[in-house]
Amino acid sequence: MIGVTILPSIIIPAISAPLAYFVSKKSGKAGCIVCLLASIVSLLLLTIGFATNQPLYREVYKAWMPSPVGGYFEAGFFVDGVSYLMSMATLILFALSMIYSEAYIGRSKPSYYAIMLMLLTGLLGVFLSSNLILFYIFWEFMLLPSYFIIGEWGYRDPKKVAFKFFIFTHAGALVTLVGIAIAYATLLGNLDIFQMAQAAAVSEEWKNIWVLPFTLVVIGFIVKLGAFPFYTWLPDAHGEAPAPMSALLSGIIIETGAYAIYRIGIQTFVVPVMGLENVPTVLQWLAILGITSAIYGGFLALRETDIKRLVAYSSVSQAGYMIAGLGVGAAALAPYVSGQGPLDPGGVLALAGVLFHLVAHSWSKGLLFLVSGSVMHQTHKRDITEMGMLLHKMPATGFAGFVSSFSIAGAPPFPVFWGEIMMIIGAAMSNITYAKLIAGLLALATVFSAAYMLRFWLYVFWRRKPEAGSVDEVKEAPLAMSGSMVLLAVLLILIGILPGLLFTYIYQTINILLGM
Amino acid sequence: MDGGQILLEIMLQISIFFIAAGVLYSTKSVLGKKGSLIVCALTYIASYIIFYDLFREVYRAPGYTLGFGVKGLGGDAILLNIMTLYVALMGIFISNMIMFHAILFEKQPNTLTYASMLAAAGSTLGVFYSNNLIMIAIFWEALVVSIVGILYDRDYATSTEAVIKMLFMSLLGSTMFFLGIGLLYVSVAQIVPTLASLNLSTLTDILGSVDEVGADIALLSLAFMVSGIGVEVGLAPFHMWLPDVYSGTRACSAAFVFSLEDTAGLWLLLRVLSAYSRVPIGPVFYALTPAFVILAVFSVLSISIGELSALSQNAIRRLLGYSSIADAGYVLLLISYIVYSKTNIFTGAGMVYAAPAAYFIVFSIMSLTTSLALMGVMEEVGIKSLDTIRGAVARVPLLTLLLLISILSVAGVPPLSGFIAKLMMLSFLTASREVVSILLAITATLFFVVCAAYMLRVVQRATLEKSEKMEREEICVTPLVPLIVLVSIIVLAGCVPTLFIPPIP
Repeated sequence: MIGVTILPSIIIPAISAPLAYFVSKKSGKAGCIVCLLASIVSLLLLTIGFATNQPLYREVYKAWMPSPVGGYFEAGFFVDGVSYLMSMATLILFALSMIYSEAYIGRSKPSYYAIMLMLLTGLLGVFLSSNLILFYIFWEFMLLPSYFIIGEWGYRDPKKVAFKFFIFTHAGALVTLVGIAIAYATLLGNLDIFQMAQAAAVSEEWKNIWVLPFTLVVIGFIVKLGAFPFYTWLPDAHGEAPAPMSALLSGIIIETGAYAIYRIGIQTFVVPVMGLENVPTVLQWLAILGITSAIYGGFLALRETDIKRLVAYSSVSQAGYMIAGLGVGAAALAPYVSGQGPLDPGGVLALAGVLFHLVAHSWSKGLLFLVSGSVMHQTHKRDITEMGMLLHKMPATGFAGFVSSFSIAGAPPFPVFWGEIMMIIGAAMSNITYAKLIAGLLALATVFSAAYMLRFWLYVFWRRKPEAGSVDEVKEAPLAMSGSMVLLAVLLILIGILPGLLFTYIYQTINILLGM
Repeated sequence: MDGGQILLEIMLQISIFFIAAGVLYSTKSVLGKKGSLIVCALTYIASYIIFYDLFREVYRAPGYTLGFGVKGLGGDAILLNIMTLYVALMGIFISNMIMFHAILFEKQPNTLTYASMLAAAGSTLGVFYSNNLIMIAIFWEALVVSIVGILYDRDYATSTEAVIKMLFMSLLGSTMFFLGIGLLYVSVAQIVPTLASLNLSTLTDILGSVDEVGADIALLSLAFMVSGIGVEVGLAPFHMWLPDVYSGTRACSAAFVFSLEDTAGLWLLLRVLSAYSRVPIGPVFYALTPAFVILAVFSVLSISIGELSALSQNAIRRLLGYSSIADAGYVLLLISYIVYSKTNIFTGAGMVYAAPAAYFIVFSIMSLTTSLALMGVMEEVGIKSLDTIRGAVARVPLLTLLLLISILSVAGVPPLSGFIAKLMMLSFLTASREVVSILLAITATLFFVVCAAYMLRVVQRATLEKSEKMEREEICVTPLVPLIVLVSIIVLAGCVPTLFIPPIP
């Protein structure tokens, strides 16, 4: 047993930020190295903590903040299979994005690296906090670094976009806060998610009120996810942010929304009352919202010709998959969790698919944004109709583009395929009637995904344009950019071929949820 | 240490500020900048030593409260409560840092201002320690007089107008407060016909026994007292003078004044309302519900007027002024709930409510006054408004960083103490499980977005936008050291709040 590794792994990036700032003043590479070292040390600490304390490792710091009902709130952190996978995905994508940034970011590198490290602290905090207030603090803490990165290094009208991003997500976060406050008021006690779930299971009051806090927190999380109907900020922010930031925004930050719906919405708020009659109805609405977003986002992506906005709309669609999968998976498991029926393997499969999709989508979408950034960096164009034949000119970027776009398209053996197929099969084989329809619609949404991604790949890298001479002067991206993309593409292929590497941890987490 | 010795220490603590003020003023031709700094430093150090002793004694006392008698005013005319002592300490500490900054920042030492500052600090301690309303009113008047000395500056063109406005409103507030005390005495004299009946700690029991007419008069007195204090701290609709003082006087002087006046005023409001809200039973008790409604309306009015007016400001000091009106509204929201829940937050189990209230008052004021003092330094390089703050991060990076941290704390961005303060207020309101307080919490939350929006404009202009003048300005770091200390505390108290709240076993 090795204790006290989670908090240091969260804090290390933040305390490295001033170091990165000062060393970058002499050399941008030094700042990049500090970022890499910080992420490696964080990952090592987290891995040691988790590997020696599987399946669930917790750290609690007592007397952190006074509670309004007497005593103190604890500052609690934890790591289980899914939070470990998400933290690992974050740290690896972050490290590769920083290598990419070394060639991509042209000015103010010291501030850039320092701010990105602060963002990393926020991201890790969200995945590793077990106290809802700490979770909220890190949730909000992600905002400021993102705001500065978009505002300072973004394209076109970055200040306006950054402002819109901040206000939207801040307002969403405050809605979440109200939900948390109502949950706290009902369950009075600690704000630790595990203890809250226990308290909710025996609280009569919670049974009457749970829909309200659940709805509020989910609204806030959906705003961050950028799913329908709260998606309007997403194409602007993800489209105009610098590529490494877009990679983190679409790859990790929106994933925090889906993760939070699972961890707080489902695991903490819904699981304790799974036996109630209104649970399937609420989860059904969640699934409907998800599938609407999946199809609508796909439709918008099909119409888009701006390279980054297309990828951004794809995130709206992919967010929908996750929400729909969570709704169906949780609803299918409700009878078993509440002791009213047998275990529905469809539910387990759908939920495992969502959790796998979190990691698969984060890396695939992150890579796709890096590819888009690389194309824009080298061609100085954004409109995919003005591009073509770039595979010959930019083979490394083309390879990464192929892997990422085909992964998002749901083509085997890339990892997104596994997540999507498990969600679809899980929903189809579950005992819930409407889930069959959801499965069908999810399959339809994958057709959209395949269409817009194939269009992306063909327009940018493959097709021969009449005025193909316009790309004659284009060269491959610098080594730092192309190397980091290829590395991420190889990782994607690896988890596509060996998905079992991740499923071990995912099933560990689902077993905890099911009390097995 | 026996009661007499502790009382002596309290008197000594208050007096040393007045003595030091006298020394500063009478030797103004001899003492330069360094001399003034040494006198002030010694005074504050002596005060902190006494604070340490008082904390030790209060922790040993039953119920963490110590009472001392004054002839004619009853057995607990002076009352030391753990939370009151904490808020007093923090108020004095903030004012100390701002005073050091003022001395180091001003090119020419202004001993009249420094002497007034010390007198104001002594008077504030008097307000905190007094339990009898007459004594509180007297110390409050001393504070107001000292404030005039602090704010008035012949060399600062707009200060005269600001001081006149402030003085007029303060006199109005004092009159209302005195009227309230008078009416209260009329109400309670039928039960205890001595001035001891005006002690806040005994008021509750007395109010519980008054007849119906007495109850009506008592509620009227409450309205006058709350309005009086409301005028002093700038609660809407008595807020018009506050932005003018924020923007029309020297920034460090205004910051000093608000660090003491707002801390003492808001805490006094809490004490007065807490005394009324814990009436055991009787006509006053039943009449408190409309009182709650009125307070809640006033608080929402202050929040909305403050936040929405700040949204349209261009001058940053005025923006901060309106923000402080909103912050006073948030505190009143908290207080209105205390009235609603009829909780005594100074004794027994109710003390758990005192910690969030104290934290909110201390750290919202710390964030606001630090921002204000930093704006004073910014003005030296011509940065006054949203137009002129463009590109500030390139011109004065350290100053901009400090300003951004403090205003983001005002905006309630985690992990800064301003966020924890707002969070505590929300948890305080929602923990009540009352629909009405949860609705109030939701209302407050909506206005947090407005606050974030206008503070973000400052952040955006300072960091992301460029101006024609982007050259680095040379500024002396020494005067900033006290403000760096305050900003560090704002961050630290956000990350580990318990470090800055006295433990209540």
